[in-house]
Amino acid sequence: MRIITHTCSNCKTVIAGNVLEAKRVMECPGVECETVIRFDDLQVEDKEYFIKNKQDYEIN
Amino acid sequence: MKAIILAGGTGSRLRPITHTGPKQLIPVANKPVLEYAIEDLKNVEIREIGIVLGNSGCDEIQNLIGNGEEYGVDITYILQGNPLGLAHAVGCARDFVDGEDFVMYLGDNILKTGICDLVESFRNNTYGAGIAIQKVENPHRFGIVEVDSDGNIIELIEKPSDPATNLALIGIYVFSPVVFDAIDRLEPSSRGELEITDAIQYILDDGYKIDTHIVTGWWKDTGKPEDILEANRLILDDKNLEINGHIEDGAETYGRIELADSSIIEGGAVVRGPVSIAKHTTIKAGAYVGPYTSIGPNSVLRNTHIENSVVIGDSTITASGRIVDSLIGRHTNIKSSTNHLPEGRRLIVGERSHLKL
Ligand SMILES: [Zn+2]
Repeated sequence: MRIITHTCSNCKTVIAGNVLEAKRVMECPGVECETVIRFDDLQVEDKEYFIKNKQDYEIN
Repeated sequence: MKAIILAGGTGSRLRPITHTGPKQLIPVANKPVLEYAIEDLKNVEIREIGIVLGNSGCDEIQNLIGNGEEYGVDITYILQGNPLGLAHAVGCARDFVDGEDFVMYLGDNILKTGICDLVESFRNNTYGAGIAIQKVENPHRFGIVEVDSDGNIIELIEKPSDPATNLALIGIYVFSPVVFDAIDRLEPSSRGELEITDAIQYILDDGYKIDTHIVTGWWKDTGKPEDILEANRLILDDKNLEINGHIEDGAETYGRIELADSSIIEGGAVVRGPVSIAKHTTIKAGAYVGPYTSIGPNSVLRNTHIENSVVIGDSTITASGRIVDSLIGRHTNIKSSTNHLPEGRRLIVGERSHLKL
């Protein structure tokens, strides 16, 4: 199973794909960081993989 | 070397305490459990720490720890979100780790002896991974390792129904970056998680050496109320306790006591250590605070008898009965019902509370 993350370019906070997918658009949760992060920031290939295998990233 | 501390999880076995905050911030001897992990990592000269957060408790942890400056460390946050397993948490930290060796520390664990031996052994040799293990009485609840007569690991099994040994993986690991190659090959287990035991098994199968370190001192996973109380006892037994607050004439104190500088033990109160009393707390006349009790900040105790308990803080306890073996959440008021009619106990108790009356 692929582990998909996005790293904030400003503060290096890492956000897992399931968090990005749930929120779609969010302010970076890093301390005092206001960078806007989107599910769409993921690489196209990662995004497609995530959507195709969405059930693997959900809680049973 | 870097480190990641896993601070997710729902803390379901510690409800209702964890309704309002993550389990990793429950204080043991008046210090949040998570701070013990940061301290252990600092003691082995690790300053770059990633804290892996779950779906809840993120704000509370970030508000306390911030960027780590106050602790002399550099914190990066890693939002794992859904609890998809320890190996998923590690996998999420790949960018943060950036090719270095790293320690993985479960943020609700406390170890008496720290992690120096494990980390030093890993630094001085070439291992794929290093694991801390301990003999446990209930091995079916843990990841278990099977070893040969020379102590080399043969197999790792997560929560086996029929455990071959009682050697359990405890919550501290050291990994070289080869762990990511192993994690890349994992698929969710029957419980839907990426298991760290499976990742370590792959590292072993790939021909890397695994360092095993038997932890001889006590180790506590603080997942349940009784674990918090036991960890509190163990820490109070070991900790250097200092009196910086004020003990009035007429107060009786025995044994080792930690009293914060702004706190007072008033005349007519009895405190029998080992006890820890945090800031801005007053132990008033008629109160008895017995061994292995930690009273958090901004609290008042009067007329009550309490022992072997943890009061998290911001509480007032004036009931005249005996309170023992208790974990009392923040902003709690426990008063006497004497002279109130009809006679009886009056309770406003949160969801999933446990009371023995
Ligand atoms: Zn950021």
